[in-house]
Amino acid sequence: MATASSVESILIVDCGSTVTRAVLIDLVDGRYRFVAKGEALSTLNGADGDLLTGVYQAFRQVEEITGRVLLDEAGQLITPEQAGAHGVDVCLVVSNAGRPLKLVVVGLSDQVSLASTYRAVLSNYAVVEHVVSPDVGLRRQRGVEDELAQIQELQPDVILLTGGVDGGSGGLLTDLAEVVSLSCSLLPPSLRPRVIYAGNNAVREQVVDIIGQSSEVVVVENVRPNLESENLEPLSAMLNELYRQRKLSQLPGFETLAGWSEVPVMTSSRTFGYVIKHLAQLWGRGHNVMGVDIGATMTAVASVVGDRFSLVSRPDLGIGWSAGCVSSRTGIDNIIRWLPYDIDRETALNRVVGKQVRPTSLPHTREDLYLEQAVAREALRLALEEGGARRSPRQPGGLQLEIIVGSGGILTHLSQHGQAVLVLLDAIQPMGITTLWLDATSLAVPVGAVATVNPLAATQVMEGDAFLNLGTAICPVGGGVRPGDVILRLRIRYSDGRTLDVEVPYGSIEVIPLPLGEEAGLEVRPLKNFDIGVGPGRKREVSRLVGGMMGIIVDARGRPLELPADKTERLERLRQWYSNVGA
Amino acid sequence: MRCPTQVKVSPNTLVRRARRLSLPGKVMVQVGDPVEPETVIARGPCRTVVRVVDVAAALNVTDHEVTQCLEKQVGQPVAVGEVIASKKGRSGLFGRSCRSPVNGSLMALVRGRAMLHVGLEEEIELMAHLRGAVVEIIPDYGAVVESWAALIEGVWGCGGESFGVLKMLVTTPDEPLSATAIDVSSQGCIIVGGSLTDSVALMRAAEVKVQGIVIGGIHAGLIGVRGEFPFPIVATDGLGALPMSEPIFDLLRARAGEQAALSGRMEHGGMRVRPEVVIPSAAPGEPARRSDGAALREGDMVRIGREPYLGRLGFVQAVPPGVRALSSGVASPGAEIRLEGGEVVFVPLANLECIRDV
Repeated sequence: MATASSVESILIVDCGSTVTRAVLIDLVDGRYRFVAKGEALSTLNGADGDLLTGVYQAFRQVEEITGRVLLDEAGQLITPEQAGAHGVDVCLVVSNAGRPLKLVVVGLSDQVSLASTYRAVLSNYAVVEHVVSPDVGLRRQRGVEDELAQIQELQPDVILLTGGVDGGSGGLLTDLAEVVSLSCSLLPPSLRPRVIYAGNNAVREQVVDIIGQSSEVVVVENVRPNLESENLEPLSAMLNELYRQRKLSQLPGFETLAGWSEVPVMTSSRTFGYVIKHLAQLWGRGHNVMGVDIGATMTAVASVVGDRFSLVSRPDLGIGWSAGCVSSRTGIDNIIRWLPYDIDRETALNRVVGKQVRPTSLPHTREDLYLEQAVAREALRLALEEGGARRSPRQPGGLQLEIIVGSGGILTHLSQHGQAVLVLLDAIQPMGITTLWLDATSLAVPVGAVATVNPLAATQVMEGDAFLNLGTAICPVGGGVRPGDVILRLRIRYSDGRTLDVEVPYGSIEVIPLPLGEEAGLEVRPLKNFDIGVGPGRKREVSRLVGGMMGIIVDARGRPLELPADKTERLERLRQWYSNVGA
Repeated sequence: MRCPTQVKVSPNTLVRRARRLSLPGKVMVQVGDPVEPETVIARGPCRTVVRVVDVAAALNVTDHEVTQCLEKQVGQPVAVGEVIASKKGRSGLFGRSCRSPVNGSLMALVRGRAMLHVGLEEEIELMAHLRGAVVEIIPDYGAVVESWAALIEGVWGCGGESFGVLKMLVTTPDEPLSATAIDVSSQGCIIVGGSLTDSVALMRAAEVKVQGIVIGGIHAGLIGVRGEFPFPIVATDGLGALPMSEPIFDLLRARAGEQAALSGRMEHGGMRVRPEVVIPSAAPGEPARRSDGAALREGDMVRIGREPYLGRLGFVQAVPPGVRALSSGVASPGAEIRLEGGEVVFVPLANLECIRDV
């Protein structure tokens, strides 16, 4: 394996279910820089039915841009880099192109072990199809028969068995292990699921003995070693590994790709998590960072709040293949409420579900674009809610974040950045002062992959090329006022000596110019006991604010954001907001 | 530039379909056997049945005491009425016994409950689903059937598979399927309409027991309803009150009265698939002249998959280089399409579907 110090050129291949990208990073004048990107529609489900077709198309684009030859005459990637800019030193492969892992979860208690298990599952590309628990019907005789029949019918990829704190009594767990073993034995060997045991360590041997008679069982550390704490990473890592083994490795072309990769193929959602972790480390302790990736098959939310890292990966909340799922989960009315134009429910529903059957299609009209962005808001809102968005202990009513990174074509392939700003603020509703970054060239996942093997390269690309500063959002929280009441006073001191004083009324969203890269000082005085993250009524100063594409965005629409129930009023309000941010 | 999405619409092409049980069973055909839709390709179990008997409750003992009462060991067969476990009463009188309600074998004892393996549930018969010939055997699971047939791929589907006689219930591709057109003569048929926007028509189809529905567009609001209906539905053009594309309508109309196989599946074996209509032909055809995946060229027939031209057909007039900004503000490579009526519009490549005879 090439050492980090010997590596100059890095090629990252990201195979999604919809789009395949090839990103080239290289050492330029002593710093790692993003050099070129090739992008093609993924070719797994089409006539080709092979990942590699889309990969080769993406490679060709990189070759055309750079003049570099990536493949040899046999169609194999050239590594390490040869004289004459042939090949690359290192290739990394990332993918979520396989279907999600199908899970059955077997556990003791909804409130304890099962709850922790769900949180571990949330960070993986997996779907819980069924839950078996004494809390839910297993006590009944008929319950066991039904559960065994259900598991046979589902034919899950993995059965997760959890429960009990370490050292506790394990009688019920061994009984559950018997049920798991029975259910596996009822299936032919080729269809038997892998079993992961992530429960009470005192009965590990017994559980392995019982289940091992009918299926392969893997033991990881207890997700809930005691009532006070949880340990999700071992289970999460094992699910990730099984996804690679049981889903990705079955895809045509995967073996070749995996052979090119310097390290085992990573999943896109986990590498997105790595880049957010890396970013939080660079910013230092105490800075809360969140990244959101809204894609065709999946919505991922990664965050570092305090010392805790959280990753939620929801394969049922994408805005392409899963658009219909988002609509059925939230209801079409919750999607329509974000639109600045009138549309009947039937038409909206047809267009949303229509996107599901044509997930790679693009919005041609402005109305269709707004509709897709409305679906994106709801997908992100659901992912945040179901993942349990972390809130600052100082501000129980609000989510304080230093940085939000937005990724995904619905945010990045836009001519008006105000639309991306609105989607992020409407869905996440942060409070305080937050800088919004955009993953404008879809580098977040590739940089996350690079961070695992060459942190220096990841840092330099992140600092130089990866993210576009959209602007700084100021979001006060409070109540007891009427729309139009002034709740905030700002003073901006520009670098050329100018000073601008602004009063912001409640219910509005305003944009104050501060060009990209220009620095300014900022003083924010909340009125009427509103809070911008340092306590009600307390002013806040930022000595060095760097301008983004949208300057300073003051979101005084309130938290939680409530839209008028009256349609006419809502449309008028939305149109005003869209207009104010240039959307 | 490569055509991103292709929809197969072919009057006569070689169709190969793997017919496979989900659990191992017995294959009933051999390579070379001619098959009809109802020919049984393989027989296999639906699932294994287990009966649970609460021995502890029957004997009025604790879970732990049951093992001492067992008269059958794990793995041993049991017959219906046979004693699984018993408890003697004091002084040998008034004991209790627990008898098996089924023929089977004792699989396990869990918390005082006996798990009895009863055997395999009723066999399922996997049918060929279309007329053709067996060209390959999949040992223990099934076979591959091949047929020269008309093939129409849809964009949305639901339900499983069915086969039946194709029956047109409309005369033009934009005519919605109405409940009044569905009468008892549609029983056992795969009925064809322009669009499906009416739940009454859906219910009427279920009443007369059709074998399936093929329409151009289906209203998304009916998708929740369709779960109650026992037949597959295939929408060839999309969601909403969309008419059926003319080439598809013409092909179905030309083959009306013939046996057709319908599949509403959108996923199979973990991969995404297209729902489809397959109509076996009387005679073999010619292999397709252009291979699947060929570049988009001037003169190609395309269908547009998004507003404002959703469902409209046209022909490629030019494929300009570079990208162009759409009214949404999104920039994309695309093609100039001449619509029916002569209007020429720019459409992003991602929104085009090549209608291909392959």
